[in-house]
Amino acid sequence: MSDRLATPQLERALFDLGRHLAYPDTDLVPGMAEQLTAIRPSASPRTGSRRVLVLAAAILTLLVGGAMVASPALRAAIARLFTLPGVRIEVPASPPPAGRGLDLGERVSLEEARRVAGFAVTLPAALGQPDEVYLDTPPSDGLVSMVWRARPDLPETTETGAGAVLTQFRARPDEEFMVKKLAAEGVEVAPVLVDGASGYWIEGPHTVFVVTEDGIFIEDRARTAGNTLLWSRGGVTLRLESALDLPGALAVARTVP
Amino acid sequence: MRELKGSSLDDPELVERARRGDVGAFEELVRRHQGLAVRAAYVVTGHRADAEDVAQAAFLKAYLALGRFRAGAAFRPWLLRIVRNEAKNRRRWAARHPELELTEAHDRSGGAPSPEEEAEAMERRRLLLAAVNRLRRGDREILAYRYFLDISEADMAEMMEVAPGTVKSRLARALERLRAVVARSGTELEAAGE
Repeated sequence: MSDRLATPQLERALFDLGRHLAYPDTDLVPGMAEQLTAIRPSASPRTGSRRVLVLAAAILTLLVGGAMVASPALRAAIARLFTLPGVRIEVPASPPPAGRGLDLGERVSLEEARRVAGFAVTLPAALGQPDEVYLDTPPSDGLVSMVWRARPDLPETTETGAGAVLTQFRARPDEEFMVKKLAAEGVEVAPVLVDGASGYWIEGPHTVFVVTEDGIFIEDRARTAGNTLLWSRGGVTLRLESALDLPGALAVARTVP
Repeated sequence: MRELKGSSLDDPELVERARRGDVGAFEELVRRHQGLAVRAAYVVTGHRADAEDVAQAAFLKAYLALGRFRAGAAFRPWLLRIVRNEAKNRRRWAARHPELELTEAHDRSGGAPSPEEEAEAMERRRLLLAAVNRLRRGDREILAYRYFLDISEADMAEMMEVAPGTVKSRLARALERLRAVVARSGTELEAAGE
């Protein structure tokens, strides 16, 4: 028995097994080529009947905590790239069924989130204790989301069904965080000051995702967001999503210790 | 796999060109790494169509993030890290836990075994795969990276964002648990007399 299960034999059998799995074998290049060609800087955005024209999506690039290193040409290419794959990735044709929740990660207690997260998890005094707390990775330090149910001073947000969702994660000091937003026309993005720190106010349904230095997307939700206040405090990036207007959201943000 | 279009440029050169807007250079990177990317996505999601979507999305994200790619770093483990995160995100959305499957294609490696020998070999693979599929996700994933895809421990460390020693110990534990499952099932891993 032990002879039969010797490690080299097991390893050999696994290598062999790996050569006989039913891997997909589609060439991705043709499909990608079309998308990549569509974003070639010299290509006219008006060629073809692409969804981008129908959606007339506008790309807004926001920076948190640093300057973008990409050249203007690359930035333009990225912007065009997102008008296609961004829509494709972030706004699927069949949205997830209701009741699946907000995909915020694992439900944990506030204490557990504080213990596990690699940063100081803060709580805005104005909102009181959260009704639910979630912990997710990546990033490795954790992405902590707190949910407050709708109540008289926190009207329900259409996009989440909650009163407020506060998400926080640590922006590592050696990293620049780049926040990209794919916004439909009519969405307002305004730079704001939160307690003296710079932030952004995004009003109207939009999708948000965040790229870290090494290209790992730490937020990639296939849903739209409500009114969002984004700001950074003590190396931690916070994102408050609610139905509150800007003064209301700022009032909440100011009560973060 | 299909034949790759030849390019004498190495990955860092292609990355540099792609970064400057050379779409062809990025296509060559896709061509070179798509096989592994799709396979890595498949062993995480266990779903063929999802694996293709994941790989494609990962390439697009990599393209987007090229401006942030550290010059001189290896492209492949960086790409694999994006694939893994994308695949895990996708799996998170899926309630199911699909099992990996064997290909129906005939084995052309290892000479030309008799139909009987080939049938026996496939049966052994089927039993071993059943054991692998019974493992917890993390074990299955790490064994798949190392053995099914033959990714080095060093590259695995980078793609999984853990220390090389952690890969080694997790791998050893996963092998141990697989060994236990196999032992319980009494599966013969190799043909008698080998």
